[in-house]
Amino acid sequence: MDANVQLLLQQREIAYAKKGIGWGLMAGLLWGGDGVLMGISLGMLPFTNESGPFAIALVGACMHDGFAAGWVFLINIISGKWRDYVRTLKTRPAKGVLLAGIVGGPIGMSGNLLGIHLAGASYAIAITALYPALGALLGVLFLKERIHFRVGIGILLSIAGSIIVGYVPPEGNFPDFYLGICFSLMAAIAWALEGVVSTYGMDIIDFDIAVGIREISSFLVYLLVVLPLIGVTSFKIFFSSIEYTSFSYIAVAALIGGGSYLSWYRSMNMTGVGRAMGLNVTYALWSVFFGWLLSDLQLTWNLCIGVVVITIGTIVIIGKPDGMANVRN
Amino acid sequence: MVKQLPIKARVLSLVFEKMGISDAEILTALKKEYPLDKQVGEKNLEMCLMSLTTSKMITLMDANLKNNGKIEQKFKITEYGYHRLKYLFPIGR
Repeated sequence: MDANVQLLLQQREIAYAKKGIGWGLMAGLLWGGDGVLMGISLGMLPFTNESGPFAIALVGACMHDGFAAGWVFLINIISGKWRDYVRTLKTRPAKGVLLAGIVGGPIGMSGNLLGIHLAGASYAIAITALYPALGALLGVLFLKERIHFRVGIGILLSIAGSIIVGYVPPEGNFPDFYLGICFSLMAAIAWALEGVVSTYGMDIIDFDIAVGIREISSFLVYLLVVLPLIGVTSFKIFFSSIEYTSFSYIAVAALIGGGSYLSWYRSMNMTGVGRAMGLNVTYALWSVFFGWLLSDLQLTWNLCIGVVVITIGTIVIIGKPDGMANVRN
Repeated sequence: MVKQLPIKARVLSLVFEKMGISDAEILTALKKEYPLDKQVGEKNLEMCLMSLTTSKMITLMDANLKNNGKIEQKFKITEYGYHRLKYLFPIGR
């Protein structure tokens, strides 16, 4: 091969790796904005009329993923990829992505909420924030991904930063504390598994179609399994919300959330699960920014320190993109 | 009627069917097989080939600079890509 051609190909590989990093950063930014907007939406009517925070959050998640499935489908129509939905659903990797959607959506989210409810936010958030480290580990084991020492340090710093940002002093009485810890751990494993299983599927199927399938499967399981398990109240909240402004707020949040998933899945495929998850966890940084901008969030010391630690972690992960072209062994 | 594979999967199977297939040959085959798909184009194909290469499903065999300044790339399937081929076909087939 000609030396000039080799150089051009190398430049192309580096540009591709940089794009993957860019998508990872975009995923974190959009997820931060999505979280803040969802928080605002669930603080409005009809959600404020209901007493169960668990039911409210899961109904909100169901509506969010339903809207996101619609938005992603629309994006795939515009890009001309929509015909791949049916073709992809007939393949085995699509079954993996369907499963990843269920694991990362209803199972992960339910585990997260139950963990907060039973063990308190301070411990639950610290445990669920570990999902990028678990994802990186599973990526190394199952996808033979390469994680350089520096990238590993960056991922740990980002996790530490997101724990500091989410930290609230432990208080209250939690009789089922250890059960709550188990649920939080379940959520962290579920989110890590979602990344690895969907990336395995994306070896063969298009990332944008994978997100479309993920959102549809997550929405259907919320609607047909999770909400009936909660009871009639959940459907009451679901249908009554249509008449309120919060409905359109959730639709906008889902557009941002769908964009975040598209970016995250692209990044995992392009730059590896470990790096993509390490970059995605920067959502904690952006949620502080958007929270300060859009709501009455007060900037405290732990928020500021957490943001600085996350920023350092991100810089360490990105480091030199030149060495990131080879994702797997 | 033969069931169509998702486009990315079809690219992998084309590389499997002909060792040393070029990107231009893949594009011609895709345009013929998926005439209604707006996504079949140079840009998307390059993205797809980069994705398959990054995940070690296919590997670059040769590359030449053409007169129009574009690079012509030739690919072959890897052992891992070959191993994953069974996932291309619908369950029960």
